[in-house]
Amino acid sequence: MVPRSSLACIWSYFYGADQVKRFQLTFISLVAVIGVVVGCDRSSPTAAEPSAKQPGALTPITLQLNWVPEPEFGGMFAALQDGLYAAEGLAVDIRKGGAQVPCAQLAASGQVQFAVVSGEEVLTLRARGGAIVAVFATFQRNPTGFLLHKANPIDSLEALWRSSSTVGLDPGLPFVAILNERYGGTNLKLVPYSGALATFMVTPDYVQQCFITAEPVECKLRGIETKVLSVADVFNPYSAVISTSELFLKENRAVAEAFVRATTQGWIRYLATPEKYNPAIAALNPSMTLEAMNIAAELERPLITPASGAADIGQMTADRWRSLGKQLVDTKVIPACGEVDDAFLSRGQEAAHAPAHAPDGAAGKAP
Amino acid sequence: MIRDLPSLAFQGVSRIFPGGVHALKDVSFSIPAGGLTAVIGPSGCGKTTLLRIAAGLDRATSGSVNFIGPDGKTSARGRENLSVCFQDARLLPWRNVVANVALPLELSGVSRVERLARANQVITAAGLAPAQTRLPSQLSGGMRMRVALARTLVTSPDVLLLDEPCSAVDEFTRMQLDEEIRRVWQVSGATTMLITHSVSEAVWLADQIIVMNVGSVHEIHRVALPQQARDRTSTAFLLEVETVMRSLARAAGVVIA
Amino acid sequence: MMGAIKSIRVVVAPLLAVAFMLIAWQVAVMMSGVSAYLLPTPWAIGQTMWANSDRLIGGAIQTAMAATLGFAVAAVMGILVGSMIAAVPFLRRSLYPLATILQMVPLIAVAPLLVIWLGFGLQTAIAAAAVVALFPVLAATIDGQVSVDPGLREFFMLHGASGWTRWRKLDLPASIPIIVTGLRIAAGLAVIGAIVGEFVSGYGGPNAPLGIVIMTAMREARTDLVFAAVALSAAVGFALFGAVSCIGWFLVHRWHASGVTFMEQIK
Repeated sequence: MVPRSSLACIWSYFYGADQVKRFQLTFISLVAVIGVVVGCDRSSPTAAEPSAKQPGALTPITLQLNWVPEPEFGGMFAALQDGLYAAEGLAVDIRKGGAQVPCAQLAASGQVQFAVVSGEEVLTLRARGGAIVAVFATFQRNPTGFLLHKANPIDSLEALWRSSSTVGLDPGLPFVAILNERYGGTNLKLVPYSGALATFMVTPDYVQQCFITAEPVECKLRGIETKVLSVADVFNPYSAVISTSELFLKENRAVAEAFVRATTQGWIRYLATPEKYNPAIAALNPSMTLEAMNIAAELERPLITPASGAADIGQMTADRWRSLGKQLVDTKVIPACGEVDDAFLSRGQEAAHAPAHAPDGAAGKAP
Repeated sequence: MIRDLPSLAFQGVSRIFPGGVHALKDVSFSIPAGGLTAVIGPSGCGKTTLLRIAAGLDRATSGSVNFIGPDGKTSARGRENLSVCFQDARLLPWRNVVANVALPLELSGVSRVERLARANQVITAAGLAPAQTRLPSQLSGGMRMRVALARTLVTSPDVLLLDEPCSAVDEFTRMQLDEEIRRVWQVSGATTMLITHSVSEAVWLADQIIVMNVGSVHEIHRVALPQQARDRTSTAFLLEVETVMRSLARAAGVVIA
Repeated sequence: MMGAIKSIRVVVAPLLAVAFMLIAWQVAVMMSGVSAYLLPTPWAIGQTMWANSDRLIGGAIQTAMAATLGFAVAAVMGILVGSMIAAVPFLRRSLYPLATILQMVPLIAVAPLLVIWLGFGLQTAIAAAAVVALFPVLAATIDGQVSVDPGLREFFMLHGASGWTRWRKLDLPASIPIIVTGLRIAAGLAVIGAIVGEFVSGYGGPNAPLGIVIMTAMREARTDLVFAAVALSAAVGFALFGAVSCIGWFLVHRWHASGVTFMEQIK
């Protein structure tokens, strides 16, 4: 009954094992770990390169999401479902993510070809030496906000930040520093965002970060009345940004551009008829109902579609990146922000390199 | 010292272990009040089972072990006031000699001052005073046994059961321990049963020797020598040893010329 | 003289090994040119540690508190429940398999539930630490107490000791060497538990515990700060482990070989 042998094993580890041997073991394993990490870093960009394309064969591409499949990635799923990626010669594997997946690092180190990150993550990692580049920005307007119960008397970011509420937030979000600077926020109790609604549902004065298109919809369907305080007016980076490594972009520019074209087309199709694509997404994410996804798609349309029209979906401007960089430096999230022109792929650059056979709609207009 | 010591009567004791092994078959003998009876026999003859039944650590399948008072009636007192010394000393390794010796009193709720005084008295009498703060791991095998013997005395027992106390020590230490056993018996005056497999030890200590065959009593031998005349090298002693030896040989079925 | 030489060898050998390891690490990173956000050099980590010492020490104090209290809860619960399980054969048959399952429970999955049950803050980190630290104590207690010398148990029985007395005076002291081994393993696990607990329940701000410091640093891609915080949590674990080992040594070194062996190790 009692696992005496296992205890004996533990015992011998602490008492019996020869000390010198233990140090040797520790040392060897540490050297091995360092070796593996260093080895990975040097070899990974080439490893992540799509393998030499056979005539007629598709180029394998991995797209790492930073959350579970939801309408915020609708365009990518639509492109997959309608074969837009395949038409561009790409075999795209969409990998779901979660709170603990370091998407920016995965993209920068070439472990995956593309990863969805937030705008500030691109500049933050670049400031730390990561060679990451944004190629497509899903949200023109930041869909992040604070989710509150409708009965909560707090009605503005300022009121929230001057209150003593408990707020569930991913540690290290830059807009916290911005809000702290403006409103103090010394009485707030910041706790880690769980990614779920359980605590929120049972705690009337609890506040948590949300994606305007996700949690409020979920609450509404469950009969919980909520309100959202958007942070876009204070902090408005591009969001759900598809990024890749500088090395990949340099060596596989045509592939990246093809991927962006297909994704743009996917979004145009998704936003036109989201109900056509949502069942496939819902099948991958049992935690969100199809009904919620259809509502979310309606909510996200104005945040994704640029003023210039649907054809410009995904485009980014240097001005927006520059002002984001300035905000991050001002709030000491990063020590300095270099020139932002290398931080993202602008549609102008893309058009210059666009292959002649690109379909018209996909190439888009130069800004 | 006048005490109402009980005698110890084994009446038709049998013990069948689960699986059908007859460890004891109809064993009957009695130990007179204040006497020392040695039970001798080959390994596995059921000596220890007999002692465990007497101590109440095992049950007879049939028959009984009774403590009989001077009035001839069965008394419960003997069982309540018996001490056992096992062949392994059974000392608590984290307690020093004094605390180990005082343990039986501690378990029966005697106050700390009283039990330490009593323990010290017993330890001094046994000549263990210089070692009293040592731990069992710091003592030799013989010394540990002396501590265990001293511990049996601390409760002033009426009945003393000694289970091969010398089986794990060398011949030299055995002689010293035998002296100690005799002292313990004489000091306590208790009705004593000594399990042993040494004939000379039995002859040197006991006034009655039960020679056991496998599971049953082969012969009951009375040692005629007076206690003070038991010189291990005297002819009378050696003759006595020879007699018991022959009995043992007969029990074992070995032919002696 | 011999003793002095031995002591020097025992102290210097691990220090040399650590120094060599750090140098090898530094050189390997510098030569390979691996980016700092993937693997910073030990030197850079040291600088980060120095520059963020207020934040790291504050966090380490929080984490140490959670780990120590969680460890204490696990120690008391483990010894009491383990003793009960060891003492009652029915409980041993029925509860021990359940206790084994406790060990298999992934803390990551349970931690969010702990937040819902207990709320945010220290108490949840304590609970998480206690959950992971409980099993080794429980298993060691049961193992120690069922393997108490049956001869000694018989001796206590013979003198009419009650179950409670026997537990206090025999079962518990006899199993202390094995329980101490369980406690030493639990000490290391408690720190891991506390940090996982902090991942889901720790308060942010200037006094954020190490779990939150790690998450924040991760989000900001400050790998050097992640390593610095991890080094501090290892230090907290080592301190707790050392304290438990010393107490264990103090309790058993006079009569049990394990105490002597431990002394040999640290001498």
